Amino acid sequence: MSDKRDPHHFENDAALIAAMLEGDSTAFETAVALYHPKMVTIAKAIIGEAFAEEIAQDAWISAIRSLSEFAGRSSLNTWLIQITANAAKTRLRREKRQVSLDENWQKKETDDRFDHTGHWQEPVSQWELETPEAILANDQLSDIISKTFEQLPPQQQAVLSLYDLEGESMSEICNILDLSASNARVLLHRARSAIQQKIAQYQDND
Amino acid sequence: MLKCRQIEQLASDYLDKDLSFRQRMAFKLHLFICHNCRNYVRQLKITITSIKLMPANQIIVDDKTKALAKVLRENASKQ
Repeated sequence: MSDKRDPHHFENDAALIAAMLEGDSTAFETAVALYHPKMVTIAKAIIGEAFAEEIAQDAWISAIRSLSEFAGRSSLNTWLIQITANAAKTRLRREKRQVSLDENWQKKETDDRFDHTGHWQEPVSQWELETPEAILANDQLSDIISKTFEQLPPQQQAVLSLYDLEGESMSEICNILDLSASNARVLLHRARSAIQQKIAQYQDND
Repeated sequence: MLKCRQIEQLASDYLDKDLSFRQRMAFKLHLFICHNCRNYVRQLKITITSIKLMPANQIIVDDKTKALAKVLRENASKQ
């Protein structure tokens, strides 16, 4: 059984935290629904699929333990992401293993959109739906964007989520995910490009 | 002269204003003469804004969410 709720049921972080400290079950459910998927994404990006859920749950336990001391210097979202990232990095060191995440993402791939001279194989057309509002108003396209986002490799999804959705700075993202600036920018572009190509496919076939 | 493939690779950096002055000029020069790349950069820009505007109108509270929330609430009440 699942139900849909308004993410703005609690006016702000302070109201949500106050309700959690009072033991309000709706507050806990709202917090978990809002932040747990993001925390799992961050953990996956750092340590991989196998440990991500466990790391995110452990991060919650630590966060709840110090919730009353949360001073609001950052948003609750940023605070939870930092706790998760730290837990994942600690676990990664303990496991002493190299985690292979976005398989071969550093490898130069052949991109069949271009010919051997580096020009576009096919003409790039102007989209018929050519405003973000028109795209998001189209249920199928909106669905395509969400699905493509969910299927991105963990590191791409984490960078895109932090940069384009959360508005974090690139330096903060590199710090959270332990990435170099150039790697983070490549991951960001690949993630955006994957979504652009899916939208293009839909618009070209329509 | 930049090739279309390089324009594709640099497009996010261009839109995020993360190119050096020289790279930016070379990028703009290519866009001036290549309508395919102009369309591509426009498509990417629309994509990025669409991603940023993805609505977060509702959250899904499923059984897994409720179970974790319950564990956390019980944990909090023990403190």
